[in-house]
Amino acid sequence: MIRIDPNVGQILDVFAILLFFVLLVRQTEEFRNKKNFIIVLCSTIMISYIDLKFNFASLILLPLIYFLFFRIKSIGFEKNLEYLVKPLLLSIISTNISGLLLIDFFSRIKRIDTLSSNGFVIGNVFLTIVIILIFKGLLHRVFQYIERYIDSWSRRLVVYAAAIEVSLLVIILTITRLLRTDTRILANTIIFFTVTLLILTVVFAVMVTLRFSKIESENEKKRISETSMYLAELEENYKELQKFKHDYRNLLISVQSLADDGNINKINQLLTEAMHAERKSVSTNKSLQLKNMGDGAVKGLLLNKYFEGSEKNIKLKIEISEKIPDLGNYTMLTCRVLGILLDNSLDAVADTCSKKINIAFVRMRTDVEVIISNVFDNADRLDINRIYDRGYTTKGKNRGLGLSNVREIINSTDNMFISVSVDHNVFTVTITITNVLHD
Amino acid sequence: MEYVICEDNSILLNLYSIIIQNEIDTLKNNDSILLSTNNPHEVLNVIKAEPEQPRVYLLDIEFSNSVMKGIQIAERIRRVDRVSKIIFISNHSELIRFTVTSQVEAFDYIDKSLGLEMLEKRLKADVKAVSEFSGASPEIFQYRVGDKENQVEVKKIDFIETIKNSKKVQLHTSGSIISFNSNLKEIVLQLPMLYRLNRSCLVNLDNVEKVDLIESKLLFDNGNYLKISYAKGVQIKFLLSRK
Repeated sequence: MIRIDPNVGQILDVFAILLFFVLLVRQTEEFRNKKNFIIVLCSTIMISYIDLKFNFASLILLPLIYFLFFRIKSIGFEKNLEYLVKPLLLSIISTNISGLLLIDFFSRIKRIDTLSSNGFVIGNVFLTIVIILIFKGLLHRVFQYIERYIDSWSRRLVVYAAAIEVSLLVIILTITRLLRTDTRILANTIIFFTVTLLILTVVFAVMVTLRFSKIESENEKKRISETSMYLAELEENYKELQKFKHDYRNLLISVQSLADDGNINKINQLLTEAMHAERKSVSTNKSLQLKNMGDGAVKGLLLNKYFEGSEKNIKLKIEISEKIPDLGNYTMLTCRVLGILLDNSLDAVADTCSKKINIAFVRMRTDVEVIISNVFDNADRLDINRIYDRGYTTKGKNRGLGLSNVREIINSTDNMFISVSVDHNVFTVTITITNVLHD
Repeated sequence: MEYVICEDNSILLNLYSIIIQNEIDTLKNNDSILLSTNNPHEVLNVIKAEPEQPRVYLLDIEFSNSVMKGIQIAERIRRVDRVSKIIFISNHSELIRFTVTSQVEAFDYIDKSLGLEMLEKRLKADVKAVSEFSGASPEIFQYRVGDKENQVEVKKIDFIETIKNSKKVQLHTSGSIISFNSNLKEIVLQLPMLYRLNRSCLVNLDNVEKVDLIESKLLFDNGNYLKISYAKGVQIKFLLSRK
């Protein structure tokens, strides 16, 4: 085992500190200014002085100085962490590896004197830079290859993992320096440790991202199937419209012929009939008004319930006459509430003769109002006083959990409100989601 | 109340005027038609001249040159006046019914395409309903849900209670339960006539039909009920007997 001249160690420490700062300021232009330059100079001198007394101080002081002086407030904690961790990891690993390689080399030729001390320093600097270049090139290649698997989430994961690695490295280095362990063991530990962790992190990140994209593609499949159902419905409506247009032409022709004959009574009768026919066909054509629903999840739910309704011969009339944007944080809550309410309504109208549910999304200034109304059969039996009671239902056992759940969900947030009303035999629920729009 | 009618088709305009005038004549009240026009700007002028005068506006939603004109007029009315009744007539066949009734609190929304007979029936019913309203103006309780100002007649309120673990209260009327952000302290200031049952409930004693001491319940005129303590029941019975 060889011992290095303390002066050499000192010079190399200064080099390591400078290296860290150089790598740090290379990352972004925001670091490159006069103030930071002075800080770099001062802290390099200061840290290397403290290093004389406590050999491990620099490892702890560098992050401290970064967070005190370099941190960019506008970019958030994670990005700052990334800026710190990258150069720290790179400089620690490269200087340590090059130092260890050189020690190995010099102990083999067994010549330690003033000349070889100089050689050691120069060799170390040179080797460190070479290692950094190799590392950077390697990482660049690797990331180029796996970039498409990495999203912002897994990127964050890598940054955090790297931060943990750095802290562990710092701890290990500090301990080994305090204990003055054999440098060879240290070398193996560090290299093994770093490489394993880096590989593990990257693999983990890629796996997680792949898993997410699989879930995404499953959702996509579901969406596509729903869209195709929607398209089929549209096509049906289009056919209906064509038929209607055709009928209309025929009607006009017959009216004309009747007019030629001067048969006013017949014309009157025909027009009344036509009026009825028009009402029917218009209502079938325009009941699914979903183009203004900008929230994909809510749209999906509405479509789903629409088709569930049509299977039971129930018409859901959906009125969204102004653009409703993505509901953001309220998407999940809205879907849950809407799901329960629509199930309730589907149940309620199943036995009635009207078989129609009205749903409206109304845009207020900063709020969205959701109105669901349906006719129900047993007007005299619906007790509005008990409507929120757990288990209350007009539909027999095991049914009445709906509205009490809805109220619970809504009252768990400050920004949603519910009101229910019964007028004759029309039951209406109004949900107001406040502060979701920006005017 | 005075009627203001706006419809760009002059034949229909005349028709509405005749239907309304006839109904007013049969009801023999003080209502009258103030303006009947096919020019929306004239309606705006009327609003500008006397903004706070409560009226009944009969508006066609779509004008030939601009589709949403009727709604815009209604929004202008609502900006200065929350009492007036607005009745929409449309041939949008109910496609935007909820949107307009909710946004400008329309009194009614009549679908032209239902045919003339139906239209006449609805209009007549509306005129009748309006004339019942136009007596003494009822006491109103106003509350906010988000950015929308709502109102309810005080005499329709049965009770108001707080909702556990939230900043909301729940208002019960005969046919509805409404929740909004408020607290009982604020409400008491607005509605001093309500009886403070306990820390979490205000009751409108005018609507209490009966105190059921056996079941410990307050029964309201319309079938609503509220559970109370026996002692409170006795107290309320006493209060009611003094009225």
